[in-house]
Amino acid sequence: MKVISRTEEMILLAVHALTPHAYGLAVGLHLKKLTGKPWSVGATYIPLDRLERAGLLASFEGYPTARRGGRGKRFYKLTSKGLKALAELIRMNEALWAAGPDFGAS
Amino acid sequence: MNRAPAPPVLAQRLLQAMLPLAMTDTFLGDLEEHFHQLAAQQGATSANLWYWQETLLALPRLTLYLLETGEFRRLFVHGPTSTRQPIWGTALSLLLLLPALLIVIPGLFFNLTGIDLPTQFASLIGPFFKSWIDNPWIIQGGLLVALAINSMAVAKYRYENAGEDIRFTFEIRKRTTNIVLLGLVIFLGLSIFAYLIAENLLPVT
Repeated sequence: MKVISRTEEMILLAVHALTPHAYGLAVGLHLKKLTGKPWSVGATYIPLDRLERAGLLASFEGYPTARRGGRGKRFYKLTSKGLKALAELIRMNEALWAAGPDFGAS
Repeated sequence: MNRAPAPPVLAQRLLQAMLPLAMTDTFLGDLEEHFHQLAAQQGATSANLWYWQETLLALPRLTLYLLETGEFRRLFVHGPTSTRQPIWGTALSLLLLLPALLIVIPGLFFNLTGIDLPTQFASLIGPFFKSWIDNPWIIQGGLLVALAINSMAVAKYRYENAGEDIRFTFEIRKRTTNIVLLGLVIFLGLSIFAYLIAENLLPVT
């Protein structure tokens, strides 16, 4: 399996946290709140689309609303493949950090 | 009466031209939703600035992504959004015909009134006329591009590349306005060509 990027990992975690209300804008605002860094809509949507093409996310369209110019939302959720990818990332991170510096000791 | 603020149209057009087809509605919907939130909290100017910032940040990313996914090819057969609107297509065509029109109109004016405008304003515009006449490919190229762009307003090309499902469709939009506007540009283009050849300003190949 291809190793996913840090941004993609953060997007997957945000989608998981926001499900069943995970759509592009909400994911970006959630990440902005948690990381304290700006997240543009473009920076959110491209990884979302890439992850969906890779089969790690599934999406469905919501109803259009006037406040969105008559356009609907696209809601995302993790697939079983996405959950496995996150589990694999945890395993890899733990293995890497086990051999890394111990910040807690000093 | 205050009108409700609306997202900048030009920014929306730029994004529509560059967004992958499947992403267009949801992406623009998200931007518009947050635009209205910002406009209510911080005012229309802040919301407009935010919208433009998001657009300018997204365009380079989208260009790279379209190249990565192969959807960039649709721009060449589908045309930018502006050319799909007949009025914009015709306006762009007329702009491309401008070099030829600036030679033809003073020529017709001279035939009717005997006043030679290029001579009257030689110091101001003479060099420009001369450079166009010396380089007829500018006029010929402009005419060809104008016709190609305007034809996109009448002929609808559609290329969809969604995963393994690749479709190419072609249809003529039978709306009278589109056909009349294309006819106008063809007539104008051919008239300009005929005039320039009659006046020996374009070489006959």
